[in-house]
Amino acid sequence: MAAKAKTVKKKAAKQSKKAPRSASAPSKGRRPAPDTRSTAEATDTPAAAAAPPADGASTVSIRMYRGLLGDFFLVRHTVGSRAFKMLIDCGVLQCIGSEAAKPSTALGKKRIVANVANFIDECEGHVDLVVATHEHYDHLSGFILAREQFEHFTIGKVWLAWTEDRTDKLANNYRNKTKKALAALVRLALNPALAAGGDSMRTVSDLLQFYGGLDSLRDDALGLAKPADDGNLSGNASCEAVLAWLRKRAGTGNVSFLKPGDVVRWGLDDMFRAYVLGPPRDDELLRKLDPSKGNSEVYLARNEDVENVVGLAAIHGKGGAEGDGKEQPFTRMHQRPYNRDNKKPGDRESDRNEAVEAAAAMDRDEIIARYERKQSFDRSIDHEWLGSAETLALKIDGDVNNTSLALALELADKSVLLFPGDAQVGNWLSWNRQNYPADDKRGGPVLRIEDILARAIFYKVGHHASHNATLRERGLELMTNSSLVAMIPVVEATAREQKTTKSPKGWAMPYDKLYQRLDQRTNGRIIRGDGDPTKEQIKFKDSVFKLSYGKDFEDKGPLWTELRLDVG
Amino acid sequence: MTSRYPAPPARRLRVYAFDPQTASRLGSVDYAYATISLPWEQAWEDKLQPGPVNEYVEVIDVDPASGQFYDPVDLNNSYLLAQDGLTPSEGNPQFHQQMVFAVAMKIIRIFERALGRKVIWAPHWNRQRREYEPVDKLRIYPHALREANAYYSMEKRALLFGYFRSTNASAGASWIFTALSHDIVAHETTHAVLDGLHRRYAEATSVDSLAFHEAFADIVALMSHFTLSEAVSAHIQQKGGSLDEASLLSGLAEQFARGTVGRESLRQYVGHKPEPELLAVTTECHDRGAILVAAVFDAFLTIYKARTDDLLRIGNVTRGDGKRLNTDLVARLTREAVKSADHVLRMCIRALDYLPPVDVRFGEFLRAIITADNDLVPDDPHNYRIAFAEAFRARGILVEDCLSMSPDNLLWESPEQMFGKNPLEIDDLDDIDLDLEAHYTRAKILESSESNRARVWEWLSTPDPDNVSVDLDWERALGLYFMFREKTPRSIFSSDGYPSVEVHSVRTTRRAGPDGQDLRQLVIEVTQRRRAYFDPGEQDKADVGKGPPAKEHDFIFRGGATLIIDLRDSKLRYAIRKCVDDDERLDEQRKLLSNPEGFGFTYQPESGEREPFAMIHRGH
Repeated sequence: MAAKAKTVKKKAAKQSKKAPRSASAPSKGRRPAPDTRSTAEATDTPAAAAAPPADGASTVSIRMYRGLLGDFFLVRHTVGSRAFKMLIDCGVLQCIGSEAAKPSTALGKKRIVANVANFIDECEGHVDLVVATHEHYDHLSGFILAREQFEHFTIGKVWLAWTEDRTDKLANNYRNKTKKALAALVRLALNPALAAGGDSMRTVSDLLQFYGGLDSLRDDALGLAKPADDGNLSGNASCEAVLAWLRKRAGTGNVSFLKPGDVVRWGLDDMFRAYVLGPPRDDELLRKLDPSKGNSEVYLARNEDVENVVGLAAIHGKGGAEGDGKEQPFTRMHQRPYNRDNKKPGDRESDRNEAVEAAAAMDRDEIIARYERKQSFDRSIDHEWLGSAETLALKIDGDVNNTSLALALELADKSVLLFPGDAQVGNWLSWNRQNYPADDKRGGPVLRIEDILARAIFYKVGHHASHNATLRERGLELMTNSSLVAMIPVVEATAREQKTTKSPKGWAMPYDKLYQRLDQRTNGRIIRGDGDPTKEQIKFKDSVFKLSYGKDFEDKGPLWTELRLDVG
Repeated sequence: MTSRYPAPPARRLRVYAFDPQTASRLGSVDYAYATISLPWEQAWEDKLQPGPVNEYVEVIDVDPASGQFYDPVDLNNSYLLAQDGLTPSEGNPQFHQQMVFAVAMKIIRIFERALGRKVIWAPHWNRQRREYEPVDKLRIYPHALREANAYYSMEKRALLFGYFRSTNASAGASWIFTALSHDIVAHETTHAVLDGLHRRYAEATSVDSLAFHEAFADIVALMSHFTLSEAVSAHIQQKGGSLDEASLLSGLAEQFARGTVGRESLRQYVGHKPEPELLAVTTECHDRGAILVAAVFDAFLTIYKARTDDLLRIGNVTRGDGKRLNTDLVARLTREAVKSADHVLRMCIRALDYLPPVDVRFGEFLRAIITADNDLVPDDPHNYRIAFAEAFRARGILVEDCLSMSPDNLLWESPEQMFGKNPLEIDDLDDIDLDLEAHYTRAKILESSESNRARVWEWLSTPDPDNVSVDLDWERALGLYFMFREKTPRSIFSSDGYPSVEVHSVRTTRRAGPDGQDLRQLVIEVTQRRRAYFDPGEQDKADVGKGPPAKEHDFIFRGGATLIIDLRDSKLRYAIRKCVDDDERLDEQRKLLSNPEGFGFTYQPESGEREPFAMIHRGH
């Protein structure tokens, strides 16, 4: 088995020689570090890997913290006693509803606190780089839930997607729209009468949890959220606040907003390159969430949808400004307020005479009685309109996923570690909109996305392996490298607990068809956040990656799992 | 209402001919309004009440999104009777009620005239009591949703219309109401009528089945444009007698389209050259349906041309050369266009009785059109049937097991053609005492069809006492099983040890042809269900297995037949069947349901749409 691993490596080495003008190979070890801080830190820090490699050997490791429906990755490059540490996201899904109904979800908080403790210990309170892929709770909540432990945490640099750049007009437009929509959705979600109205609102509330829960969102919406003045995060901080905190910690000048096509450097002495694949700067693609069947998505005019829900929130929402009357389609002459659950006499303003008025009232009462009359099946439509709020919530959710910073981390032998965040279809589809410079020379050879994907030996499966965050023909099917392995940050039990009457089996994470294909593509080398270590180890016997696990968390299996690769 | 005066023949109601946008443009304002004449309520029908509520529909104008319940319009108010209802206006919800009511009723009447019987809504299956309950009135909610959408909800037996705000200047309004679009109301009403006729057509059995529903709804909406003679005549004058240029008449839902996608129509049926290969690669149901609609529209254009060539020669004009036509000629051409459209629409609607009860395909629709027309109008002086066959062929809609695409060969096979002789005797049909009387009240019709259903079921499922070969012949003709025999798939649902058979509907029709032909038919639909599995191995196990299979089925596969019996001579004319043991068809359905990846970019199946008949499918 070991012999096989060697041959694979040899092959990889050969490839790197063939590759045109490798940029990193000649500079290896000799390259002057432009970022003095990171080198200084690195030399100060003793090697802290669980199993420190032999002196002088260069390794890259990827640690995934287990037991989370959320992303939490520590990527390290170690040479001898020096290490470069990169944190990619740190979050877990919020528990909505009772612990009794969702035991697995409820455990998430405790779990991430234990995970963060291990992480802080492991990196000694400092990382060289934090990558925050996108503004969702299951990628950022660790900073909130374990905020005490992050109090003295220091950060070298921060990488964010260009969509987080406050000086970018396109990004601001997009973010304002999202904020406006979220505020309107929160106001609807806070109306208890609507919450009882069935599945649509349940979906809305569920999706809102991805931004930090109703409490923090309400405070935001009502303007109550106070910025933490002590430089620490508050317990009900929003995801936006987490990003602000990260930026502050790193300090101005150490935050990069990455655009597709950018090439950035990472690793000890900035040895390695990373390609920025997404999010696209094309508004249309950002909005493309789902596989297009027909052209259904182009029918939706987004600004108008937001305005629409803002109007609905003015009528039904709790908190926030009252409506200005423009949210009603008809003039006051025709308005006849009606609330099935809370009957009030219609406040009619009319100059018609009494007899006419009485006749009209009778007609109206009769038709209302017809509407409310019980039949053997429900024909009323009290809550059908909430579908538009649900649609918007889903769209916004997909939009935010699509703003994921998608990175291809390249190693010296040109193989690639793929971290796409939770990129959905539009983000994936955009990756071929640009070429990627193969070396640091201007006008030099370029790589196409096909080249990059073909070199992927590691794939962090997007969106916990849901149905719509891994592209097929122009995604996974292009990852043809025989060494490919995959990590899925998922706890299926937690996903299955997210039940509604519409999806009685909860969320399909991992989604079986995708999982089957991943299994074929990786030859079974899949690591899951809830995987069985014994089985995983068997599958990884002949992998180029070495697999190890941390100590157990209570009786729930190891805290983390780590893949290590010798890189020369 | 008893009165000393005779009842008026019709109730006249004003509506937007297309939608409010047409009324706000100088070029089209002359024909932007129309008046719909509905037959005055008959003595035995429910009286028209404020709502409007009548025998067929109940318009309930609750607007939960706005927290409103608008006053219902009382169309019997003398002021409204004297002026053909309220004046069209976007700002008055009561006019919206009037318009949805009038257009929906117009569509219902079009169906009744062509089918020769009353429109009945799909009954509701009561889970507790395990029986079908009749649905008396279709509900119409003109302001149900605040989004750019409208749909027929099977769950609620209701039409839900949405309204939305548009910032798209070309829509010419800040609020757009789907209830004010003639096309959208006609489209959704047709869904409801079709669902009442063929409940199983809403199931995704093949790429054609849902597409057919969409297509048919568009056909009705489109062809009913040509009942608006003012618009047709303006168009004919403008285009020199030609109809084959894209226009208001040949497109659908202009204002809605402008307000959402910024196009001139949601779907435009003129100006796409027929591409026979397109059908094979189109899978989205609205797109696929559009091909069928285009074929029907082509047939209409051919028929119109054939009917007017002589008129243009008499008038000494070349079609479409832009010369101003003589007003008399325009009037004649308009009449021909209106008549052609009416004939085409009737042919399409009549075909509905000649379709199999499950899993309809486009090619079968063509055969149904040709056969139904042939039965009623044996000679075809204007070559309508050839026009249809040719138009369908040009759009790639072919009929698989037919000798050729000539109308003769497209007729459904008679039992004699299928089996050499007519093996099915129905001489004992009289014995079961079917209620074949023509009823007028819809309540009575529902009652009689329910009792007929029970009788026919009894008649079909009772084995022949003397001769088992009679039963075998019936099984063969219907494509289903009455007894578990050696080769009967055991996956068929059963009760009491016998395969379950459902008599889906029994209906009588009475139609009059152009030369006074009188056609009285009995149409019986019989279906059977079979447990189906994604895994063919599992299927085989279930098919041979004894007793009920252990594993829960993945989906239901249906078979069955439509029997058309001529009541004049009590002869079985056609058995249009879809065999329940047709494993090839089962495999097609399996592929459609289990292998939907072909449609998309990712590994996702088609998401289960709750409302399959939405104008626009919510994207998630």
